[in-house]
Amino acid sequence: MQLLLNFLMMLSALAGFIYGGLLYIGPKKPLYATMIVYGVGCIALGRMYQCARLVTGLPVDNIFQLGILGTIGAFAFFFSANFGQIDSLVDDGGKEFARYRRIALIGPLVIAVMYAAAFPRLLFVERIFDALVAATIAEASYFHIKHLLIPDVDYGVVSCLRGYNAIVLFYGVLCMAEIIASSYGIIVVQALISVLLCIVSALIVPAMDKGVKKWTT
Amino acid sequence: MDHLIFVLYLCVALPMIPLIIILPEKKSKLLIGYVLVGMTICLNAGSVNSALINFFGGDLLYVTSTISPVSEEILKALPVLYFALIFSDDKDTLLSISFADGIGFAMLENAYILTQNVGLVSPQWAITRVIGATLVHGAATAAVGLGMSYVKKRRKLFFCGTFALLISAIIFHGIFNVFVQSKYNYVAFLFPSVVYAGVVCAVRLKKQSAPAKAKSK
Repeated sequence: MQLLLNFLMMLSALAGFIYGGLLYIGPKKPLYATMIVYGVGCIALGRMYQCARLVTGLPVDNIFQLGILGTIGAFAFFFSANFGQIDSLVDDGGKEFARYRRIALIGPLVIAVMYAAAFPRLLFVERIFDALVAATIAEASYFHIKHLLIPDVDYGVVSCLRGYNAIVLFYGVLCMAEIIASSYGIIVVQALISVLLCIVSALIVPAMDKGVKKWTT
Repeated sequence: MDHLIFVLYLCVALPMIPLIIILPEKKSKLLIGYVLVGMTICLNAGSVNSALINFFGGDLLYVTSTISPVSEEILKALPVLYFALIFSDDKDTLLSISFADGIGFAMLENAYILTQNVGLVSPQWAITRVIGATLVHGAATAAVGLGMSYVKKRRKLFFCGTFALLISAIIFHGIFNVFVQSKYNYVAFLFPSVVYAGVVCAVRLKKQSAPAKAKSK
């Protein structure tokens, strides 16, 4: 079951990565889009590693293993794309945007609450590495919420990418929900979350593509 | 023979020094130099890995499938970071030297593993190790080198982007290490070969289609 779910999640992310790679990896392509494609590639790699461990009979639960890094790497790419490429276009640090910066803190707060919900049920190693996962998702979620709400008066870039930001934000929440479900051992919920993760990870690149095409035309 | 890897290093790496001195082109000197650097890193990684195996109570499988990809990728990335910070952050140069760094690392590692398994090695083992390990080390370090090309141009992208690329490289390396020690060791040969062939084909196709597009315009 665990192998099948990880395999499906790997396939859907891999499909998104290949689709995005054909469109956005190469010279003179928008770096923002390239980074998101790499992020989806990281999700695929993480799940591939989990599949490799399960196929070869190695454990994936209750220990530190590199599959966890797939989520951390993916959100590091998503964070880097929004923070490094887009944020300075929409927020000059002025007072008029302070309200949106404050509202965006809801993202990290929700992720922290979700981590706290799983915390009592986690082993010591899981507490450390799931905290790293939660921290990466939290910092990325701040920019996803901010870019969902902030008015885009000058460039019209962020308004094109609201769909993408909503999808990645949902993906982050699902990743945290997966940690909670796994910590409580609720297999049915875990399977349901995995199916949702499959669908959402396959939608990330098409949503970004739609936004990027809108902003470049 | 604790010092066997050091003897191997002397035999394989040191003959490159006279070659570096007489090579006329700076680019060739740099490439061979970074192969040598990769071998030197491998020499040190041996000590780091031994310490890690001791720390994890001699669990060789856990360390090689989970911990050593992290330590080795960080160690290989350091000389590339040094070059990017001190000399040049040109993308093509960094990709070449980081690939050379990874290949140098794989060359000494393969030679050392050969000496540890003299009774078990076969041509199939050699092909799996040479193609698989060389491509994994080369491609993984090249991915990190790509991120480092932003070290001076865009600091905001450099930190998170390089971290995310390093994570991708670690997982890629981890997948290889999991399979190479299992009964599915042929996957360890196929996986990096398919990734490498895919990247080379995509780059060639894009290069071919670029002049055609320019002509049609």
